[in-house]
Amino acid sequence: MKEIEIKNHFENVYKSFSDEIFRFILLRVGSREDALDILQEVFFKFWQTLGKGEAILKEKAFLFKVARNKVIDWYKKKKPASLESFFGEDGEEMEVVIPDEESYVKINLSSEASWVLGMLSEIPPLHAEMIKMRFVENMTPAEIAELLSISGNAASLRINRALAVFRAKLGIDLENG
Amino acid sequence: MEKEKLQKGINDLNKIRLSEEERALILSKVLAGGSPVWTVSPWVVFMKTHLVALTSLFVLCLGGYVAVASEKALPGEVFYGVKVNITEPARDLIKIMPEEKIDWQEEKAKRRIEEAKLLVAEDKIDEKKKEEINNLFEKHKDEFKKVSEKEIETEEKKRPEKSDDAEKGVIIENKNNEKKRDKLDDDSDDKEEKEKEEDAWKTRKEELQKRLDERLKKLEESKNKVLEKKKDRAEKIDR
Repeated sequence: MKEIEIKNHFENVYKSFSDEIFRFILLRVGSREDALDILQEVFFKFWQTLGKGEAILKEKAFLFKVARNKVIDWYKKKKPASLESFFGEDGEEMEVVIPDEESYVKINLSSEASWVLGMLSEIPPLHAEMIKMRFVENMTPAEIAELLSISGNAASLRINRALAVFRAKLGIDLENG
Repeated sequence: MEKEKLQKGINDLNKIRLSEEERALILSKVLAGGSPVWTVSPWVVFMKTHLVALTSLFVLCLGGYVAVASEKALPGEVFYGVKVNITEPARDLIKIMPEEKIDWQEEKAKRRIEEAKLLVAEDKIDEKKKEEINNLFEKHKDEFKKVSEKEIETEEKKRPEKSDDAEKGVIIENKNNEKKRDKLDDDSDDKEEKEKEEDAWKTRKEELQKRLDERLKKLEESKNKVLEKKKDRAEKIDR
């Protein structure tokens, strides 16, 4: 691919996914400035990968994966105490960030949005993360499986478990409206 | 009621976006990182390969005498400004590797100490020159810390990340477009290995930081020792 084609392709992908990736990062790091820095790193990695001539089969999945790993790295450097490893019921290990509620104050959310995040902080972080991915980031179970490098079945299992915990704890059924 | 609140909350979260300025800024920063096929700035390559020619040109332009004289200049002398504002910053630019940058910042701090020693020996030191030396010294110290942090970051980035293995799962590699999926190895031996590696890195990082801190401490102590000498001498005379 010629350089100009790479650039055009990059810009199209950036235009398509930058908001989603930014939202994903922001809801985990809680700081707009840090989220922008991480977003830049994510797309720079994408830019470099394109430049190496590597064809990326699923660009959205690639971007989310890089974003997730960059967020985890950020936590390792800045807030290692807020990073935990969990083992899902399928036995797969998953690292989950636990944003503190104070961070969200800085992002200037509506009261309802803050309320939702507050509710999510009342359930185990592993389940909160699944709900965020499924209902806030609107990822399908297949996309979640790809992101976490787990099977589709394991992803569905975790989502269902998260919904059950959310329902039991807060009395609201997310799936059935 | 709560369901509606929940739905609104989720919708509001979905509406989080970049502003147009942020979107444009990030795009320009990524693209300004250079063409993806380059890993080193061409300007840096040019400077390094033409260093001799550039230095000669510099010497010719300024006059050999000025360049040489500035290297020997002390605070308060005519060419000291050329030394700390032109020749030394010029050498900042040609130091590429983090280790070179760290050594150079240390060298500059040592130069300030040497200048102070000479001034004290010649009884030419006064409060103004002391202040000038102190300010420059603090600047070199800050730069030293900055490049030290950068070096530690660079070392950390060189470590193989878990992310590299995970991302291969979505990249088609090699010229034949064969799918290559790497599964994350969840063997318990691997976990132990990773923990050992993490511990080793933490120890290494602490040692690196300790060595750098010690260098900085030594410089600070030398500088204070030299600048205190004048004070001691003055006190002895007064008694």
